[in-house]
Amino acid sequence: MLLRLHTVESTIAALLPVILVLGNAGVARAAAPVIGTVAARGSFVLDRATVSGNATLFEGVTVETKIASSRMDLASGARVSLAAESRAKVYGDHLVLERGEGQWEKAATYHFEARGLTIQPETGYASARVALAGGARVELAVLSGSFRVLNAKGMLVANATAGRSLELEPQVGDAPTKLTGTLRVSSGHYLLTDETTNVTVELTGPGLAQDSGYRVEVTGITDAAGTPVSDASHLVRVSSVKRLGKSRDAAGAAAAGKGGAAGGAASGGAGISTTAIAIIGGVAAAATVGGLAAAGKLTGQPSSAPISR
Amino acid sequence: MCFGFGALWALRLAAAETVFRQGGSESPQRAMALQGTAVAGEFAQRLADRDPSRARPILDYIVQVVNPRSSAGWIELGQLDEAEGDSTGAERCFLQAAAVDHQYLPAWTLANFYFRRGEPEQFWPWAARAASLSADRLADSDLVPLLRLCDGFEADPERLLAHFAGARRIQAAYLRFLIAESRLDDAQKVALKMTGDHSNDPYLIDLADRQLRAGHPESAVPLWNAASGLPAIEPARGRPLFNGELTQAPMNLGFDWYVMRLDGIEPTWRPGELVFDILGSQPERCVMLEQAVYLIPVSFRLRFDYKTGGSPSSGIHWALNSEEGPEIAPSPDWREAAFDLPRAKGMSTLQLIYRRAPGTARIEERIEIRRLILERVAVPGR
Repeated sequence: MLLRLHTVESTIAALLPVILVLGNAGVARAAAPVIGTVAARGSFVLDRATVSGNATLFEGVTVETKIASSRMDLASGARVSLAAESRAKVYGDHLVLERGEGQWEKAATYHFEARGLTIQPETGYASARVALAGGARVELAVLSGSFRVLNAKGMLVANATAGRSLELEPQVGDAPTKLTGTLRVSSGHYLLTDETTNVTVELTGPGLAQDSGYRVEVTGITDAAGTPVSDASHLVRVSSVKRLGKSRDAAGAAAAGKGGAAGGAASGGAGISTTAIAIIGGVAAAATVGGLAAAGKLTGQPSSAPISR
Repeated sequence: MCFGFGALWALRLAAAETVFRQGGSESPQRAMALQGTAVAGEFAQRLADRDPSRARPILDYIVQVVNPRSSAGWIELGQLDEAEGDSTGAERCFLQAAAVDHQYLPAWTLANFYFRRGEPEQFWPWAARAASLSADRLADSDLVPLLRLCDGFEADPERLLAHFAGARRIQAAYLRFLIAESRLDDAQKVALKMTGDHSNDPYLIDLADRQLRAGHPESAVPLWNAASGLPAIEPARGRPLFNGELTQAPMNLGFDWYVMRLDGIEPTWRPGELVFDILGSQPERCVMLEQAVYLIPVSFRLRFDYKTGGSPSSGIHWALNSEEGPEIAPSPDWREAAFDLPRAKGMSTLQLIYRRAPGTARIEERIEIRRLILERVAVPGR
């Protein structure tokens, strides 16, 4: 008998599959605190072990669904559902979505993380669906309440309220900021509320005065060290302004002047293309029509085709 | 046929949900009437998933009227109660599920419930029952969630296993759990009780390897000897070398030989012999083979048989803890040779190395070795 020794190692590895699988678990779990319960119709996977029906959730456990969705009741009061064919790492105060789709209700302080984005509720009874789509996209559909989306550096990149659906995609490298909305002046500062992300920024740069009151598309660089006025989240140094309308947009300016929350929805009705893509904080965002909010995919069926822009 | 049945099932569920969502005090009954008892449990679970507050009346209806033996319904109700903070109601529902269904799921559910409640006296009987009912439905690796609960109540391995009346399946799963948790001392206690069952040998070998790497050779040796399947090593009696006859392929684990992966050297094992084909593209100096040996403070000699190709210089040396012995003289025929180990004690590393001799090119030839014996020798003056 001849045996190449590289093959011997493979054979030994094959003899010890369970050891290798379990060995990856590594850290001690016995002392991890209980954070809630998980239940599913049928079986699901808990830290690589198949479990029937229901189980106790420990801090940091990985939950993976198969053909059935699962629901988790957390000690914080939040209720989280994972769609079929999904996987998430679950903590007492947040969930990291690693595959598929999740929904949470009575969110309060409970937040989701997906592909480096943090999605956190602003109100106690907020609910939303989040799905990982093709490429690096994250789909967000707000069902009730309102949510803030932060990038990996904690910078606000979107505000979303009930009925809104967004596709978000973190960009590679230093993507320039690109926003669309009505340029307005407030106490001598130029402000713009982006129609897609509903984020208000302060703009600085030459020639802004001539575009005040117009709907514009601005491109520039977010000045992370700069301090914007209190109404704005970021300070953007503008490199170019493209006027999108031939007349001053009084309606848009008025809506933005009331705080901008209605900007996206109102703009949609005013003929703004739902394909408008904003880039802010290194994250591209596009509003979607229907999307997850209308899809109702958390019914035990795996996610299907990605949402088109 | 199956497709037709599945489609009918789905249609009945959908119709029942539609009726229920239309609301009204009669909706649970009307919904049930549309589907009958067969799918009541699944319907209730779907409702509990989507709309727990509205699921309660229909769950109550299912377990009180339609099918009091629906353990799924009782469990769903118990989960709703627990989520709402009603532990007494939850316990009553879970116990009722166990009363009507003597299978695994109610027992598992109750074990989890009492764990979350922090009630070990109630927990252990249900954990033991779940374990006993799991044999035909859970793989051994799927016992980890149950063992994690058990471990939360009882960290002492012997006392934990006592709750399972020595069940070998639980014992083996618990050993793997402890190894995965890197709790080597606890794993050692369990492993030493399992040395007679050779189906556990891979896990004992793995634990011995981890003990050795953790610097606990005294713990590793008894496990290794029990599970390795070859003549035992007895370091305290001056017999530290394992698999010297090369009767089995090196495992690259524990006290066995480690055959190194190297560019330019192709190792081959055949019963009783190791062959190294050295291709000329190997590093200038490299370790080809090594073994961890535990040495008592006496003198040792390694005896071995070997043969080489026709090169004038082999570049091959034995070494202990990187301290090299003389080059092995080229020999195209099998030849016996010896290497007197430098004095050392405790854990040491015996190595076969290649080092290009100054003024020579890297060799291209075959080295074969067999019959390795590490023995104590009396060395005058040492």
